[in-house]
Amino acid sequence: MSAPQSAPSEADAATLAAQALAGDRTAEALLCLRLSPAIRAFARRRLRSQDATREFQQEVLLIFVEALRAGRLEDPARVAGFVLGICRNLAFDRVRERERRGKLWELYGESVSACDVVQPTEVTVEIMRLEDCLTELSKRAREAVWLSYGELLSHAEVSMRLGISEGNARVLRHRAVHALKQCVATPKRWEALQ
Amino acid sequence: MTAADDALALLDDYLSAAMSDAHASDFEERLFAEAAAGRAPGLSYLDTLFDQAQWFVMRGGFSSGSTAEQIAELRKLPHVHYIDVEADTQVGAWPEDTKYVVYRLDVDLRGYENIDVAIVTPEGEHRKWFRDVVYDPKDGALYGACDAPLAASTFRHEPLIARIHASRSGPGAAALKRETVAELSVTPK
Repeated sequence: MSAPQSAPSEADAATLAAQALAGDRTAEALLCLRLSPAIRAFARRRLRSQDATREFQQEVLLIFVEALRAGRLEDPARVAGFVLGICRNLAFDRVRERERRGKLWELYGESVSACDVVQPTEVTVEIMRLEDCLTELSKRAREAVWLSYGELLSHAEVSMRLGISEGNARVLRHRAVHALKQCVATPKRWEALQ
Repeated sequence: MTAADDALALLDDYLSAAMSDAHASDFEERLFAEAAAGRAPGLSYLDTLFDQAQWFVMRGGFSSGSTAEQIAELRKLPHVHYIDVEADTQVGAWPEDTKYVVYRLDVDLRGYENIDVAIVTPEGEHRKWFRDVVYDPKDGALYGACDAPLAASTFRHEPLIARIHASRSGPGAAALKRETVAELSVTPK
């Protein structure tokens, strides 16, 4: 989803929600755009795969847009809480569904995993910056980021895989993501040479 | 630590489930409010990091260093250019459609550990670090692969030196001492 051209990008959430309720599609799209990373974060805490995260996000946004257009958002000032509520309700429904599915996984999971397909994407300047910055991290820090953000393991699983305490794994990961954030925010020499 | 650093750490705790569910419930209220207001830069960064990391999943990970076998496999693919870096190497232009550059640094690092490679100019100006690189245990050489634009900054723009620092493997005083194991120079042709 790309940023709407005419959206009031600095508008507060309540104003946008009121505009969206009044039928302003640009405001509606900007709200969805702003809330999407939070919805994905909510999903990532609970779900493992990228596909599941995207599917969850789409479902939440569909419910949100339907509610907006039906005028079911009663207080525009509480739009963030409204969307969080959709996330929580959906997660609750899914827990029940997952319990059922978990039993199926135990029986057939190994066979199904073999059918997973990862879609290739084109390399971007941002990915190359990350690639560049990763080489400057220590092996341990790279592993911590990889296990958390690449293999999508939980905090406890990361510390177990690294063979260090949960506290140390936490500090290692915090420092690594902070160092990476600073590094990727800085344009690199090779970008000027392209 | 700045407030932004703290916010990033909290978000990382939330995502990794290091944060308890009780704390997460309150945190989510703030997270969604900040996102709706367009005031969540840390969230955007980690959201992007997740997506970008999946690109590396396709490529096999974040590891810094490859083996001769892995490089041989990559060389079979289209749009891959290979460079053999010896003590003093001149590197010519590679085909315009090159997407990936793979290389071998002609060193033997067997018996060393904690290996870092500093990229410096002949005048000693620092350009870049490659930390904790891994060599091929069969021949001790360093193998690597990167996207062509990244490789161009090392191989095609200016004369540079790859200075390899390491310490001896095993116990004892030698293992504590860092030494410059090798220097390889690369000059664009």
